[in-house]
Amino acid sequence: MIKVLTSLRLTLLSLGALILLTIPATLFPQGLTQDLYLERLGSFWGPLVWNTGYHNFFTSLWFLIPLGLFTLNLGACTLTRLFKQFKAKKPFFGPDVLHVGILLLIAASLGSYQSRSEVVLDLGPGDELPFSNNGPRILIRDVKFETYDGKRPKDWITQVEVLAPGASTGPLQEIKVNQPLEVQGISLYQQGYQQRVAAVIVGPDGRPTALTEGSQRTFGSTTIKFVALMEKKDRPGVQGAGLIVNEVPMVLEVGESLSEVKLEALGLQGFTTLKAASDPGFFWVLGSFCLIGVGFGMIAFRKIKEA
Amino acid sequence: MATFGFFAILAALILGAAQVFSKGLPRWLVPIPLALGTLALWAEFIARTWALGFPALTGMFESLVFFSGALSLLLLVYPYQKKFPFLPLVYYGGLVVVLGLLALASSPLAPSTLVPPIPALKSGWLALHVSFAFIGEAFFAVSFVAALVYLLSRKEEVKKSADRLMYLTIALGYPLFTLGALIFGAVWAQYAWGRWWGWDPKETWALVTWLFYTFYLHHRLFLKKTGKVSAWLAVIGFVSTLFTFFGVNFLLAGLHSYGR
Repeated sequence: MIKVLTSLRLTLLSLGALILLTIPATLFPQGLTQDLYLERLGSFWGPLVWNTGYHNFFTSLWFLIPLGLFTLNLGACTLTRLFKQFKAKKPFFGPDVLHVGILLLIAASLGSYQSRSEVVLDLGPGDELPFSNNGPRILIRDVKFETYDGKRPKDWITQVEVLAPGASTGPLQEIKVNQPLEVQGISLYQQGYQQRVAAVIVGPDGRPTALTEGSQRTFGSTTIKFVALMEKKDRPGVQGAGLIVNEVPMVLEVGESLSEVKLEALGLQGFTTLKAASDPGFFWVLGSFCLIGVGFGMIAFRKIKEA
Repeated sequence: MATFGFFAILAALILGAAQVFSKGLPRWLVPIPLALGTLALWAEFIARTWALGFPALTGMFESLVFFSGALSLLLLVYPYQKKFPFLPLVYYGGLVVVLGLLALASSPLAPSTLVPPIPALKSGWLALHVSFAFIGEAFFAVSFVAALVYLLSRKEEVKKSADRLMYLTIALGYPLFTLGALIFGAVWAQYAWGRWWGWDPKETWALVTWLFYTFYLHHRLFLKKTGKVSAWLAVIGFVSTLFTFFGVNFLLAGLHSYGR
């Protein structure tokens, strides 16, 4: 049994199977509905892809069985080689470190897949990320879209205020693409940017909140619902925000105040799409990369020394 | 500068061919246009990097220039090193590959307009990912040419040298490709999109290429198999590399469509 598990022929068989079975899965999109496969691939290939489970190839047995064989084979070979190296006069563990790294990567990837969670949120200034009651509060303060030439995107930046539990103010931090923000084990990634018509209301705390058409927010004792862009009756041609303030309809101009609130801006405003993700497997995956790098380094060093 | 690089390398190839037929042509002449061409390609890369304020590795044209620059640098050094068997056919075959890459860079498929990177591409990890992957692939390109020489040659001595060169270049390219295409790519993806791996067609094909070379190394190294099968594996491995780079960009959709 051990001879079979440690056989190089099994290595080549599992690698070959992974290669040959994976290639077809790249030729059409994964994870679509049955109807879409029928529509895009036709009456022969569509049902074939669906009925064989190739539409979710990477979680199907087509992929998991050769991967499992590869893992068993690699594990058995690594253990066998390790035992031999421990007994050897001049042991060399480079390939073992590399192979352990690959095994750890497979295990960490499966663990990460099972345990990670993520949610995508569309938010605007004034919105709060829906985290747990015991943790910090994260308020969206501003959403900026920078361009190189007025067209090509340069950066999408979400400015957030991170408030410790019980605090009324907190430091401002930025979330950009490739520069996620980590708060208590949750990573916030900048995913996208949109512009929507909104009324930006500044409340008694001085923080701006963007209300899209149809949305409502309470500022102190004032509940405001933004209905639509409207013209003021007494000033035609001047655009204002059609609002319902404590159930009273009115139109406010930019700059106008009403008791404890003020209309700061009106029109197209920036909204952000953030991905909040938590991955307990993060450091295990990172650790496996380090082991793989160290393994390669040990092998390279040995080869250079031999040369 | 890339255009100058193309013609300089073409001149190196023509001089090399001329040398075969005219023994009077001094050997030291051939590397000069290759050196100039290589310098021109790296100068193009540096100039674009300077202009962008970011490593010029984010578009198809820039990637092709970098890839050709890495390969031509390898070929420039190749005749002067003592560890790898020197085969003139591999040397000149490699130049043909460089010219092919540069010809593609001059096509409408690879616009050369200087375009600053979009937010997802503004990452040091991207620079590491692309550069290491292409340096690894430059070694794979040499192994590809060596494999062709093996398959087409009838002389046993040439076949033996070509086989050894194939193995050595793949052994060198493999860790660089692993680090670049897979590991640095995964780290970049984690920072950019919040996940290590998404089974995007580009990522999957990079993995297929990696599996292919893993197959080759285990077949060649541990089963001690040399010969035609090994050579064909090296050829198909490089074809897979090219498909990962070009085929996926133009034929299969996904997040990695930046290289278009």
